[in-house]
Amino acid sequence: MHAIMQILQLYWTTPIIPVVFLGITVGIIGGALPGISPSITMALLVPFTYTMSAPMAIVLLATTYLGAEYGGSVPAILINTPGTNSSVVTTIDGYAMKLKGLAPEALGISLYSGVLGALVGFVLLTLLTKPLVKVALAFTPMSYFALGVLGLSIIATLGGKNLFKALATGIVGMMVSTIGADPISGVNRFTFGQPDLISGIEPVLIMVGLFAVSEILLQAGEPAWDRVSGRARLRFPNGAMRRRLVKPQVIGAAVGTFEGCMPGAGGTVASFIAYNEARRWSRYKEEFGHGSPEGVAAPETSNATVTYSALIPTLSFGIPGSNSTAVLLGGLLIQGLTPGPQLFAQSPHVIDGLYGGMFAAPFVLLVMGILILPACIWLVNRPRAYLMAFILALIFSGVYSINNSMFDLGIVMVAGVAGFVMRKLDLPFLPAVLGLVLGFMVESNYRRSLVVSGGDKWIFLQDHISAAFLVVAALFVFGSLGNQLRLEIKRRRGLRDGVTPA
Amino acid sequence: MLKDLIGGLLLLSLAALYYHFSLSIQHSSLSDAVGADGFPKGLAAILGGLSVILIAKSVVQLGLALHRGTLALGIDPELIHSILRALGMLAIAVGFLYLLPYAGYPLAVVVLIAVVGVYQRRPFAWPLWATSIGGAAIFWGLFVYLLEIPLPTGSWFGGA
Repeated sequence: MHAIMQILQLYWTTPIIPVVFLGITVGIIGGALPGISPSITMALLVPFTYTMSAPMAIVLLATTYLGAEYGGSVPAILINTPGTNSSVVTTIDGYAMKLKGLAPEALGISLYSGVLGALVGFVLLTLLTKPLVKVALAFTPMSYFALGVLGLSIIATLGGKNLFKALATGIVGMMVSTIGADPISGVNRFTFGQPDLISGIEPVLIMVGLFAVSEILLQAGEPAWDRVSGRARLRFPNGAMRRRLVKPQVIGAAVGTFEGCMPGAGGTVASFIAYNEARRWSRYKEEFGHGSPEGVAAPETSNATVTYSALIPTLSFGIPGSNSTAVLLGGLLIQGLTPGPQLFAQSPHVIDGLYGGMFAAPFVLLVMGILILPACIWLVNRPRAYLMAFILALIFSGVYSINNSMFDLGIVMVAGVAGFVMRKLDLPFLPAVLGLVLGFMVESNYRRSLVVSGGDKWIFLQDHISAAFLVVAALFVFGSLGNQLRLEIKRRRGLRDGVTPA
Repeated sequence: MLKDLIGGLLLLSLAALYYHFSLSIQHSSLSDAVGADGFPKGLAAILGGLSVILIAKSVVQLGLALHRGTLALGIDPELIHSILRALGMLAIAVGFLYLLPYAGYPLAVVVLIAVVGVYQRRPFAWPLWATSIGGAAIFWGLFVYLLEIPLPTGSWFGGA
């Protein structure tokens, strides 16, 4: 009751509701534009959050994430082009429903499932993150170092068959984090006499370059996407259909919860698993792939739940599990906040604000999902050339407004080119972002710990939290290495037996 | 395979370059036992090692593919097209950055939208100019008027 009163008070005393409306609206529009992922939409918004209060900034970014996940389903259903990676699976049955003349029903199921998934996600977010406040007080420099190592070890699980590439790009991210004044002695490193580099490179500049600029460079050579024909409407499921959708929605929410909490898994994996599981448990298996409403409900519920559950490792451990939560972390850093356990102890108003915003978000999503649909379709039908030009102008204007610096624009361009090269060479982004965000934390706390212990490295194992984190990190790395070795042996056996690898 | 080889070589070059510059980091009397250059040198060594593994793996795979006769040599025309288009877009973006201090924010944005439009094959007609001028007006209104960001007014017009 006290918590509800606190949230209501927030609604009256802060501009949180308009911010939620703004975040959801921008998110839906961004997600609906093919190629503009939730992380890109969020990265484009980050410069605007610079002048906002910390709670409002985080609410804006988090609600944009939710809006974008729903927005991605709009072109997925209407033109068979997923607006986001996690809506790829929605194209299968969503577009098939559209071909049967059931586009309004598919859009309605997507929105209805998204709202339910978000509500489940909110309950989980509040239940799972608050208890971590107690842990915050026990953290030492050793724990922070080990937490950083644990975060970096996730790179190994992200890598899959490209483990070495993932680890290498993670190291590149850490290298970028070393630019600027040394955290212990203050000696300048890799600044090349540039005063703009002394305070280091803000992670958000790298993220905007990697995600947004590289996408514009990539889109320059891509063919135009299809146009939405006719007038699209949205129709919510009736009672019988709502009962039929309960099972896939429960599956979607469960998968979304688990995958979102697992750092590195992300919404795309979750939506595919949710779809598969929904098909497996469905009484109408034969409909899947041919316009099954359950095939839309499961991944869309999962996508919405992930936007909440992915905040749990991001907020409580400071470890972003996906590109979108990495940008959110960048938003926290730009506000001068330290993501991780300390956030709860030092800035409870930010957490309260976030809870307040995320509680209102599903209801706002419901309203804006209906209202914004014509605008989304109008935007998807605009010539892509103008969209690209506007996004480029938005990137430059937004980035300039952070520090009023032309130098920052140069950094964003360099990061954009690097991102384009990485895309072409199949080098993953997320490890680089993790390295960039966690590099400073790892180095500074490692060195502080050694100063405390007089150079004795055993201190990392003597500290219980640190030791636990390091053991889990080692399990992640060796588990991934073992997994890769197993796959390689299997592949070679397949080759020897004359089976062509897929 | 070829991508991995190119990626490995690029990463190895980066590791070498980073290590080279880490040698010139000054030593401070305030420094700890690790030193300001300790962490960067370690990172360079790890990246170097990972790059070598990546290169070795791709060389072995290339050799195997060559041995089996499954190695497809030749450059993908789509890749070249994509890279050239990206370079064109990059040139436009860099041109915008050079133009901005001279022409000022509104004019530079008009030129940016128009040039990107033409580059992406929009007809050189009134909708292009209307969108460019309208777009620049929206951006100016949002950033300069509403958010009060001091974007460059342009030295050609006597501004900063």
